This record gives sequence, C-alpha cells and structure tokens, in this order.
Amino acid sequence: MRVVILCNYLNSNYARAVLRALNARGMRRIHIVAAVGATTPRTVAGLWQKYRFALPRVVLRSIATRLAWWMARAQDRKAASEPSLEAETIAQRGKFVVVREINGEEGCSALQSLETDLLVLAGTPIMRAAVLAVPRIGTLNAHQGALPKFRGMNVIEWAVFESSPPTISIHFVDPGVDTGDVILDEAVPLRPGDTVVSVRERASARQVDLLADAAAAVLAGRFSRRTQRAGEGRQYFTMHPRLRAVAERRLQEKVGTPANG
Amino acid sequence: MAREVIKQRLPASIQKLFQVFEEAAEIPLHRPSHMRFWLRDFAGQTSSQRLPESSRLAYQQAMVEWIKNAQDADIVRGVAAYYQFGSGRSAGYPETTGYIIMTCIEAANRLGDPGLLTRARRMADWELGIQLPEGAWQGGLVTAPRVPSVFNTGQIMQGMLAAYLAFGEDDYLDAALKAGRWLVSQQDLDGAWRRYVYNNFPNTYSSRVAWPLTAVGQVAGEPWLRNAAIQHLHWVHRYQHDNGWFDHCTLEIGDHPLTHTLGYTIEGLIECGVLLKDEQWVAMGQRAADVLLRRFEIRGRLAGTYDKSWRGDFSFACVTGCAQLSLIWSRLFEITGDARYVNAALKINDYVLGLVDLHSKCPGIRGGIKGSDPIWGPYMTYRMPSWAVKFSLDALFREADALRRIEGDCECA
Repeated sequence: MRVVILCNYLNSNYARAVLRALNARGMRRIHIVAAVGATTPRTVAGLWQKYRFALPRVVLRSIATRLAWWMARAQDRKAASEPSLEAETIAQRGKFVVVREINGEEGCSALQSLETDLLVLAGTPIMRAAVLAVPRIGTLNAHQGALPKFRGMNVIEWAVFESSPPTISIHFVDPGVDTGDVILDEAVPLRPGDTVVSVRERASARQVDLLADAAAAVLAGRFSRRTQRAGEGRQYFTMHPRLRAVAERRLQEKVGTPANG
Repeated sequence: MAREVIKQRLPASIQKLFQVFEEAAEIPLHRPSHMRFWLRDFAGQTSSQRLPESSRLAYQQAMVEWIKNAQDADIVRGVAAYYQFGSGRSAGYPETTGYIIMTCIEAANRLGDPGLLTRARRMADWELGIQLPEGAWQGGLVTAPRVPSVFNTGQIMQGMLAAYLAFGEDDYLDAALKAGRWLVSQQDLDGAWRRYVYNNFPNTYSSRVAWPLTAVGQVAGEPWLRNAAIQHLHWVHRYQHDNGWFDHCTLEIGDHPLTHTLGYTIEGLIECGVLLKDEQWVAMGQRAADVLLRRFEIRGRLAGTYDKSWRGDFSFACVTGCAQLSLIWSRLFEITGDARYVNAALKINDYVLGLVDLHSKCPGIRGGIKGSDPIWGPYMTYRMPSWAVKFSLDALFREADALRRIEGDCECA
C-alpha cells in the first residue's frame, strides 16, 4: 500500500509529525509531496500589482522575518541538528517530491506517478476534485471540530464560543468543505487555566496520533464510516478578534483559572 | 494621436494606470487633504486589511459631524447629497435626507446629542415643505426639475414615519400617508412600479419602497398600504434566481448590480418579512445575504458588482454596499442568533472604518465615506455620498447592539 502525505511547505512540521506517527505504527516507505509554499507573485509586475507602495515595507518585513527565523534556528541546537523533512522521508525509503502547486496538474501528476493508494493531508488548502480522484482508497484529513456541526475555519474558537466541546474529527475528504465521511472523533480535554491557544495546541498534538491511527485502520480495512448528510452543519470562517475575546472569556468561565481550579 | 497609439500598445494594467492619472488630472487635487487622500488610495493602502485606528465611538462622532456639516452646507437645511473633490458639497438631496432623519434620531439617543433631534426635525420640516401636491417627492437634488420619483418617495416616507414616532406630530404621518396613496396610485396590477422610476425601468430594489409602505400601513392602521407592499414583494419574487441573485437590480440597464442596490433589495425584503411576520420574505433576502457573506469571507472583501453567477468585479468596492451588507448581517443575527453574521459584520465594518480619515483638515473628507474604493472607482467617482455615512453609522449602531447581546450586557430582542 502506498501512503502519500501532502503538505504545503517544504519543511512542514505538521507533515513531519504525521510521518513520524505513521512510522511509529510500523508504516514505512511513506512518500511526501510538498509545495514550495510560495503564494506571492513571482514577477516584479505581479508584486507591484499586489502591494503597490507597500512593497518596500513588505520586502523589509520579509527579510526581517527570515533573519529572525535564521537567528532563532542558529541558537536552537536541537532544531539545527534536526534533519530536514526531505532527509527524514528518504531515510525511511520514501520519495520526496517537490511541486510548485499541490492543487493543480503538477500535484495530480506527482500523486499519479507515486501510484497513491491513501493520501493524507497535512496542512493544505481546500483540495480540488481532480486531486482527490487520484488516490485509490481515498484521502484522509484531521479537522479540529465536531462534524458536521463545525466545518471550516477557527472551529476550536467557534466550538468554545457556542459552548460545545472542542473535538477532533478524522474524515475522508470529498470536494466539499469538511463534508466527507467521518472515521473517528475525539473530544479535546479541557484543563484549568486553558486558553484557546492552549486548547488548539493540545488538539494539534493529538490529531497527529488520531490521523495515524485512522490511516492504519483504513489500510487494515478495520474502520467504519459515518456519512454526513447534505445540508447538515455549518461552515465557519475566521473569527473576528472581538468574538475571539468573548470565546476566551467563555472558556475561562467554564474551566476556571489554575489557582481556583 | 501618437500618444493614443502608444497607449493602446501598452499592457492593460499600465493603460488603466494612465486612465487613473488622466482622470485625476481633471480633478483639482491641489488641496493637500485631497492629494493625501488620493495618494493613499493610489498607494493601495486601503485595499489591505487595515484595522481602524481608534474606538468605534470616535468614528460615530466623526460621521455625525460629517452629516451636520452636510446639512449646514445647504441653506434650506436638507442634507447635501455628497462632497465632491473639486466642486465641494452638492445641493440638498431629498431622498437621502429622508432616511438620514432616522439615523439622526437614533444617533441623538445613542450619543446623547439632543442637537441632532433639532436637526432631524429641521430635515423633516424641509421635506414637508418640498412635498409635491400629489403626495410624491421629487427625484434628484432639490435644484433639479421637480419630477416625482417612486423610490425617493419611499425613502422619504421612512423619514417621515421616524419623525412622527419621535416627535408625535401628525403632519409627518399625514405626509407619509399622502405619499403612500400616491405610491399605490402609481403601482401596476402586477405589483411593479413602471412610471416615475429611475431610468424608466422597473426594479427589484424597490422592495425598499415596500418596507416603508408596510411600516406606515401598520402605524396608521391602513391595510391597503400593506397589501400594496405584499403585491410588490410577489413581483420581486419572480425575479430572484435560484442562487439568490436578483434581476432588474441595477441603476442602469445592462449593468451588473452594485452591492448598494443588492443591499437595498435584501434589506427591503428582510424588513418587510419581519413587519409582516412572514418568513418567506426574510428567507428571500437571507438567501442573497448568505451568498454575499460566503463570498466576502472567502475573498476577504466584497466586489463592487456581482453578475448573475455571483462573479464579482473586484476592481473596486462599493463602500455604501459594504456598510449596507454589514447592517443586513447584523439584522440577520438579531433574527437568527447565528453569530457568523456578526462575525462578518465586524470584519466588514473594520474595512469600512479603515477607509475613513479622522484627521483630515477638510470637513468634506473628515468622517466621510467614499463612494468607491479606490475613489476613482465607477460608483460615485471622487465623491463622498451622504448615504454611505448614513449606512455606516447604522451599521455601527447595529454592531453595538449585536455585541451587547453576545456579551450578555443587555437583553436585546
């Protein structure tokens, strides 16, 4: 069985975590298709069209960000000694394919050439039907919200806002937004002193294991699907800071602070 | 001639740039405040998601000041239609002065400024003075030929009703009823208005005429006004596509609808639905509002116009339409309790407020809202319309109500 991880960055930490989790479950020769991650225009004319007079500021900010990242990395020996995602992929005898655009023809061709059986998404935009049609078994994704109730973006925040338990769902991907069959889901435990950020970090760590468990179950043929009905649930979008502050307050009211437990 | 030939050989984006410069050259941008505003748009600052620089209250006060200045500019106390780069403020505009009365009364209560009530009364009295003998109000600026207008009459009716409810004087309600009688007399059997309409074609945005007809009918206890409104809503229903888009929702034949006219149509439907307690009209408005919400959230901004497949023209934004959509989304939150509507309203209000200059020395710019973003866009080019300020203020008031409800500080309905 050929398992391929699809990610939007060359050195995606999420893809690395998923790769390690799959390896830990005895799955080897996992391939990775990664995009160069550049969504900015490639020509000077394109850059001018997008940023106009803000261009010098954007360039300076980009240089500063890269410099800060490079300095932090140089200081962090552990990070500096960590092999690249490409090296890790090759070390477990997988292929590492770089494409410019994962959601287009190049992405499709890469997946076809790898004869993909199961595709695992590790941080990608909404995938086009043509890409999703390539894997023989299907495509898996981890979503930080209970499905079908919380589809879309910032659903940890939205769940807290709506006083629902934050939940991770692993689902097959179809051309809709988080509308594919659900394989498993699990509530994220809340702890005193939690903030939206800490809940999201806990969810992010846990979803890697759940994604790997689901992939193993699918490959072994030991899983059940829960179909989402059309018209069920809601699609959410990025939450405005004013509402996020309300969500934060509701969370604190629910879990309390570490001191008062 | 040679210049034209050279221009035609240039890439389209450069040609457009030339056009912007040529248009700007015709506008006297010698004033530093105008030049600064223009440069800010040219620099593309406004197209990025800038957060407003201070509290919502500062913006509300600046917008109210803008309206006060626009009223003071007109010697007969109507509110000027717009501030135009180059020529300054226009003459008084009966239509928008009509619905600004509502906003003024609400702002007086919310901001604790009783002077605004005096201003609202002066606006209402001005409208009474220019009502045509048959009950209609004229289209265009007050200086234009006095030709009745269906849409404008509807909007002024709304102001008259607000004045009646605020000041309790029967003259205002009588004027609204007289206008209602005229509107019904001009309505065709199928519910449409075909005479005395803008550019001589019937339009679906007259659902915002059905709204004041319904409201005045309810307050005055005159069911025939309500029936006329329902008849018009049925006519509008015939022209809504399955995807929520509306035919005949444009100012010019053959154009694609602006978010401004879409906003009028949607708001009229929803408010009629609420007053009539009939969900079908709310659902019609909501269907279109939902599509626009989704488009806005995915793209991060609204286009200036949308075609029948909801493909947008993103070369400009119709800022008035943005404010109207904010108002509509906040209203839908009040009706449905779905916080996604407030979420979108907050974001689009941030965008609109990001366009407001609070510190300009020019009173026509300070606190004003431009027609198009960028200002040379096709809607109200190089103008700051009074109705953009009105809808932005209304949007901020509704946003405040929605946040109070969410934060549990008040028991809003």
